[in-house]
Amino acid sequence: MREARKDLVNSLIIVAFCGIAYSGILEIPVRGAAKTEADFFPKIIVGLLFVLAIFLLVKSIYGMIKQEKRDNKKERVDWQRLFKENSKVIYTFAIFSVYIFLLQGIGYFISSVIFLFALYLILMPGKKRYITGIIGSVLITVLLFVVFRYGLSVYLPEGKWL
Amino acid sequence: MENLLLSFETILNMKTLLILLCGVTVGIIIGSIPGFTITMGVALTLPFSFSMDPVNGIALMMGVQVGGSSGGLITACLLGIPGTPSAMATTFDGYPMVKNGEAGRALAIGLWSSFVGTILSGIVLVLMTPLLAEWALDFGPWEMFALMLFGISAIASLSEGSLVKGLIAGVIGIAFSLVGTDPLLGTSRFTYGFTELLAGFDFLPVLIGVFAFSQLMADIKKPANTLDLKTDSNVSYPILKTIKDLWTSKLNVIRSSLIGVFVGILPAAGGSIANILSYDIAKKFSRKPETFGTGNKDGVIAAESANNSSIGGAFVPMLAFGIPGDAVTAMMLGALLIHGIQPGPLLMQNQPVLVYGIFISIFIAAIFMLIVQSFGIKMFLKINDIPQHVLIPLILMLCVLGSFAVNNRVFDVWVLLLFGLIGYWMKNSSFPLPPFILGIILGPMVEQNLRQAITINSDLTVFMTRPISAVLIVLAVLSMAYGIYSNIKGSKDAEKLLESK
Repeated sequence: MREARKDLVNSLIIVAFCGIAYSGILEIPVRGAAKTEADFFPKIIVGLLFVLAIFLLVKSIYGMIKQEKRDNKKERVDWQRLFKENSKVIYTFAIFSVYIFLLQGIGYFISSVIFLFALYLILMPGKKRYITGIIGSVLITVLLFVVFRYGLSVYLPEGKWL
Repeated sequence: MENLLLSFETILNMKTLLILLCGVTVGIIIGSIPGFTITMGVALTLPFSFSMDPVNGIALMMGVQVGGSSGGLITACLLGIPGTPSAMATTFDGYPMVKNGEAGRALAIGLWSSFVGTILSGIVLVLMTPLLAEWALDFGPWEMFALMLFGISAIASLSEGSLVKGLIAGVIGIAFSLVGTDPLLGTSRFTYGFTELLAGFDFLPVLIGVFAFSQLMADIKKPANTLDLKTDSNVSYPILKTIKDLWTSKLNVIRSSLIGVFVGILPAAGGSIANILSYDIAKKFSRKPETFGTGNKDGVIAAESANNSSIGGAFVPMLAFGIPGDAVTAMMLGALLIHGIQPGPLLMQNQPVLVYGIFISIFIAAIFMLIVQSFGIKMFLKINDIPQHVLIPLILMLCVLGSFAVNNRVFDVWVLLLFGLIGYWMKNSSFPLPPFILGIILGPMVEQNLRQAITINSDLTVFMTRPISAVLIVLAVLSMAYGIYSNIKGSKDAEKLLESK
């Protein structure tokens, strides 16, 4: 995606963020006990962010118009290519989210081995990844358990079995 | 004097020295791997520093920073690929020197320049910080607010990319710092029913998410090139010859180190800017500027002494005012806050042993860096043989467990994921990360000082009638004006380039 189009999407994301934050401001209780209430500073910050987002929005639209004039054609987004470029990152984020759910449910050991094995499959090319994945995932899980449990006295989440 | 002796006693014990040594070694390793940054390394050491006392914790991070700043020169010289962004200009002459058959000389000169740069910046740090901190003791909430405003605006306008994006990053950072309990009235804000958020987002998962997790995702998307290092190339060079090389370029060493310190003091302008700027100035001052880029030792000296001397510079505003000079010192500031220590002008008075301990540790870290890198260079070269798909899962797990360990709760791992996503989005969309993190760290202090100032006197013109506050606000406006100017100039240059193409 070209920079101007990217900025257009970004500015809209920030405007949406401002909307959520504003709804949060409305829920802050006002006690009338001080010169500045708890919602005083958030209002300034969210207002400032909104103004900056609008500025970025206008700048990006101006940039896109200029770009189209220069290239004499409308730019199309190749979603397939975009997904392919980012597929590893998307999968990693997805399995990481699942991992956090599992961490709460089945504990550190099993969830970490599953997560790391899946991560090796995503990152490594070739057939060796299955063997490397199994060895690497078990090794890292045990090594970090020893370091954190016995070295730093951190009790990692426990599941039903481990 | 008594405090200084106490600090020596605190630092000069086997445990702290070992921690410093580990930090330096880890720093050199991280610095020598292209794609891994010093900020990422420091973020990953944060969880370990959490279980230590503050002096040891800061010593560990200091070691990583000093080691990382010089570790970047290994691949910069041998491969022409900077191990860290702050070793970019080192490649300009370091790599040609290696191609000319002077690998050992290039590495030795770079290492000793880094050492001298770190020591000189340490001296400036020791001399400047107490003076500035004493001056800042008279600051009221007006001056503190203006100082933080200047810090955030300067970091936004000096960071790479557009001014608007820098400002947006800083303001989003402040917005996230608002989550939790209001500092003056105790009202809960933006918690959306999560009791875990009543104390706000914990710094540790936020910092690891923004700097380490997002960097890992970037490395997954675009892995650094597999390296083909010639580990058998002669990387040794006599110490006496190196010292002689530096002595013949003593003016360059001192000038570049001072440039590095000055750049380090400026908010946001860290080692990468110092590295390029001092290289450029050394070239302009040289009698043979045409030899720069072909393997001139002065190019390596300028680049390496400047990036390491920016470390001490970045500590000056952090210790004197509580405003970090770069992303790494921002993390150290966060680490101090985790330990319940409030950085700022009073730090010198309240925690003199800690501050002097930081001073001493920078010197010891420099000495360790020199020893470890001199003797372990072949081992550090071998680390580059480890493929990234082996390192990434291990580091990702360190991120998870480091975040979990803060409060022993899985909620913080979700926070890690959230800020990892935000960091990755910002990186991909060219929003600079330092203003964001500075916003998160300084946000509560900005709010507290602004509201205290208004509570004492609701007349806003007081900000302009108090001289120091007025000067700082003018400086903030000037830095923004500079940002706008450089943005306009940058886009005009880009247009010209497009037209010429």
